[in-house]
Amino acid sequence: MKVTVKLFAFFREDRFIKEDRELPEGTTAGQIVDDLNIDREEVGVLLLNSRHCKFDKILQDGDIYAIFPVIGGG
Amino acid sequence: MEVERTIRNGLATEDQKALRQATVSIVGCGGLGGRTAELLVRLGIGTFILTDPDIFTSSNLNRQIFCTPQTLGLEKARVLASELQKINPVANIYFHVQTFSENNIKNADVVIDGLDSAKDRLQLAKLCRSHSIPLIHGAVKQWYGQAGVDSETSPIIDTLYSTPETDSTPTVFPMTVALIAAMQATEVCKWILQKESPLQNGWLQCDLLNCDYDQILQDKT
Repeated sequence: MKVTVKLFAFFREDRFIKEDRELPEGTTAGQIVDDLNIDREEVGVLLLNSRHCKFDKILQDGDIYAIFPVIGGG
Repeated sequence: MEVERTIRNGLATEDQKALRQATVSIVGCGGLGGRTAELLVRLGIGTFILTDPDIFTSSNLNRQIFCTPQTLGLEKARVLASELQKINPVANIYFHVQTFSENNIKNADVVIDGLDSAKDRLQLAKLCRSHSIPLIHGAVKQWYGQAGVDSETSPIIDTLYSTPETDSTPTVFPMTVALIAAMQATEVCKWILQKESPLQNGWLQCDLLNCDYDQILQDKT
């Protein structure tokens, strides 16, 4: 299946802004975070097709999946 | 001078009056808070409530507008009050050198998030919602920033800070602070003038490195 993965803020550094990924059926939101070597503790928001999701959510063909870090400075 | 002060805003008289009659509470008078305050006093906001428990230190010099070698060691809220008063001597400016509480926000029309911790932001957002006052959120980290309006119908702070914080001293560029503070000031202006804004239903994610700006809009709860 094909999923579009979008990264935000410093998660883009040494990775990508947006990428279409070919993934095995049953891949979870958390597995993509792990595959990208993103520390789960740094993740602020996960959006699947503009709706919130959790790490255990199973992705579907055609999904658009966005991963945001926590940004905290002021 | 009082009419000429804001004449180049080009606003209708009643809109400029609405800004003059508005009260803005700024919670956190550092990078975002100081910049937003400077913009809003020039815009013509009439009353400010400034709250910050801290003093200026040398690591603030890279981004906090009124932090200079001369103000190091001085209370941020007191310095900001003094600088705003210089820009507009007839503005009403109240300042509190303390951590925020209900008393610092309850009389405001709008509250500015100038904080730098998730825990404080969650607490401030809850407090603002309990008084039905919008919280104009901003946050920065080096090349990246975000801004949006937290309210009862769009509680973005709960979304953005649902996980515990891992980065206690974020890196912050002055350019990112200036951009996000300008967005916060703009959202204040629109809220007071009752203009709709996409950021009342979500937030804007800003990437200055790639010049990439995304509106993340949420369904109303």
